[in-house]
Amino acid sequence: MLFNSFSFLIFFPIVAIVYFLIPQRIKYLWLLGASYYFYMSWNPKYALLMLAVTVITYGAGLLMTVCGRKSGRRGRRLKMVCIFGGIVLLLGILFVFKYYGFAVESVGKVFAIFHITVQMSAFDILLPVGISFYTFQGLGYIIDVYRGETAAEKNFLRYALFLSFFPQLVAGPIERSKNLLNQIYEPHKFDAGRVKDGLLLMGWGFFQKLVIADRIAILVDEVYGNYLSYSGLQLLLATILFAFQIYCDFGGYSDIAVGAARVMGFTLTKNFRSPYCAVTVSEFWRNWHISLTTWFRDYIYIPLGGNRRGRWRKYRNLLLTFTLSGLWHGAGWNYIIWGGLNGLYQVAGDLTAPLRGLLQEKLHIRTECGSYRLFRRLITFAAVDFSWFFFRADGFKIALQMLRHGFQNIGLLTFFSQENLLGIHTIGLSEKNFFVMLLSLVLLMWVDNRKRRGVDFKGILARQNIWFRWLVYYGLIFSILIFGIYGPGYDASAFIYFQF
Amino acid sequence: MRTAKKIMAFIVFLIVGVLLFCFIQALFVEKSSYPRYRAWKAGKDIDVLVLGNSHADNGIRAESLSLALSESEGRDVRVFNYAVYGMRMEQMYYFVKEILKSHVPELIILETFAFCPLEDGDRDILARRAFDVLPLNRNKVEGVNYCVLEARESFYLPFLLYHSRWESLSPYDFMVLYDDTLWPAYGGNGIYTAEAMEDPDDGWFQQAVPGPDELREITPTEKECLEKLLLLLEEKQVRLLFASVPFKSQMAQSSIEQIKINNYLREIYVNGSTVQMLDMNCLWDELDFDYNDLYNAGHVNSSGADKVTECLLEYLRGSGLQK
Repeated sequence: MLFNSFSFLIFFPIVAIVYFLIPQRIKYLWLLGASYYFYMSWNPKYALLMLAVTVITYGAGLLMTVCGRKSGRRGRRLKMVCIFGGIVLLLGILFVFKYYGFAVESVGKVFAIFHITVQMSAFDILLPVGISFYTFQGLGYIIDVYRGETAAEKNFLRYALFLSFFPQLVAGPIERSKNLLNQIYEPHKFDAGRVKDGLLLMGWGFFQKLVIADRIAILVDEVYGNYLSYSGLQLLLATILFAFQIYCDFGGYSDIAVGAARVMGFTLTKNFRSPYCAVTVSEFWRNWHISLTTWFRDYIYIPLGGNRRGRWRKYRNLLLTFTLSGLWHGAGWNYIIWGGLNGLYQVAGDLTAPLRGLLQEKLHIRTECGSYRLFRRLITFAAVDFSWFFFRADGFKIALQMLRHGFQNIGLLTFFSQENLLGIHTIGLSEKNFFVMLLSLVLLMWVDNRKRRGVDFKGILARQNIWFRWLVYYGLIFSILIFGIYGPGYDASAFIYFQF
Repeated sequence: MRTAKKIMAFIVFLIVGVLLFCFIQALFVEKSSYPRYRAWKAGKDIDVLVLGNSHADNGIRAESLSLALSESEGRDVRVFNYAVYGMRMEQMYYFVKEILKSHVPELIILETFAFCPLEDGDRDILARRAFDVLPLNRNKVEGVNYCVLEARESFYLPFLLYHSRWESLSPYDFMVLYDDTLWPAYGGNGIYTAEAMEDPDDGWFQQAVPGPDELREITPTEKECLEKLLLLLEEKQVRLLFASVPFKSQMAQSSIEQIKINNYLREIYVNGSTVQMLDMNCLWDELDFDYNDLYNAGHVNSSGADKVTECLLEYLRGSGLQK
């Protein structure tokens, strides 16, 4: 069941209304049932896998608690066995469902270089939606228990809800047990103001997803799907727009998830903070998919040593962490390249920082002015967007072919010709749709920029008269209804991150 | 007190939102059937209802029939052509149920090309025009659930499908909501062109035309709906006339099969009194009909429509409209 589907529009109000009507002691049971129903609407068998992950991590947590009571080396060793076993099992599940085919293909290609044919059976298995998210959430939990940062949850059903909570189940935010698990114990009464805030956030999420992301997708899919028919500049345009597509798609989904949770009284991690306003790639990653970035920081980067073991170790850790992050996003070399590239940017940024500082000093460049910040934002955007190119391409080989084609056919004169500029509808979008896309992108960037400067839109809206507030609410609802892209036959198009 | 105010405000917000939604939906719905819907709702009683698909829409001139029948009957006779492009038998049953709520005609003329063999996937598309304009009520929900294979919600709420029509909206979409001069008093939305087929002998499909003894059964769904329709008409004392507007028999395998279906309907359902048949596709010579009267292989042009209407008029004068 996708968020932007008719089923969800029926499912969510029912779940929320019943949630507020039933006694506090059984609210979590209702949510648990609803969450499993939500997940099983994709495929009932997926629930078995999620249950398996739940049992493994729940059991590992309890075992570590028992082992932890034993004193001395034996206790520590037993704890280590538990955590190691849990990690191996979870990563094993992830490997089988997500990476096995890629591994088989890659090994085959390596052997093929030496003219050796390797026969390895690759079984056709459907990738369960959201597996990367709840597996990592479970992993984070058992690591937190191992470290003593959180106590193991004794109530299996409450723990199961922590792992399966439907707003964040299939595409995050990846929650920490310290945040979400504790909230499951808290009472959640109906609060009109909080419900309104949650619904507004969901509305903004739907706007980003249906009006912006899915509209851009039409143009991007057309260009990336038929790149040989388009010039380098058109490919560049599609790549720039893809940066916004993925932001609005994933950011929109996150807002819907956070908003839906908020309606029911839960506070989830904010996953995006105006990332394209960042002036460095590091800052971008501190504001993009925050729950995943912090997960990798806390469970990969810092355990590897972080930046505490010297500069070159820090660079190694950065590259490794981001490469792994790329691999998490997809079983493909283009994702690995994408992740590695983002790691490389940060290494390069760190390495060249002294040189840049020197240049700024010698050339008397003012670094606190708006123009310089804009310049740095554009450079950061360009760097990040170049990596998005690999993310979007249908494989590393195709990405290289596209790059070659793009540079050989830049199309400078034709791109700026009147015929091309006025015939923008030949790239999949009609003129009116292109205009709507541009307008909504301008709105998005304005809102992001204002939020970055601390503007509280919710607070400003709350202080307006009722007629103005209603105008904004109706405007949001009807702009989503009218301008939303519902897909061919209005089949709800899948969120990009669902493949993870 | 404060909570009660908030609840009231929320209820008012919902009501206003629903009203806005209904208005926008009416604005956005595709309008080919809409003017006829308004004419049917606003108009006086219907005496003769024409149903079918584009064959009937193009071929039967309701206004000419109305005027001629009124003259011959010596009373006001209103013929209403509510044949909708692509309408199928199963949709027609629910359509008639809706119409009979407000108008009970003396006679329903059912053009038989509505039984033409069809791919399943096309049924949803063709159901669209039939159901889009009907109000959301129990009859529509039953009809949609029965006739439509998937994407039911866009039939309950047509706005879901037409929401992207903002790009093609014109003043007409707005005016037709309230301007009754745009509502055709006698229905109909046909092509009505004088243009004739370019090459009637282009050899599209060479197969012998079936004889009168060759039958083809209609599908179980169509059978069920037809028999329910016949029961309903019997209950309301409404007569049924199967009519077949001329078409090029060899245009496709489906048109060959249609001739067999016409034979089947005649054989199984026609009883000579409450259910009759006028197969004009067998009357090319009598009507002095040829390919110059066809706009394309399936549809008559204005000259053909004149001949078909005239034939129908003579038949109705002969059989009479009185119960």
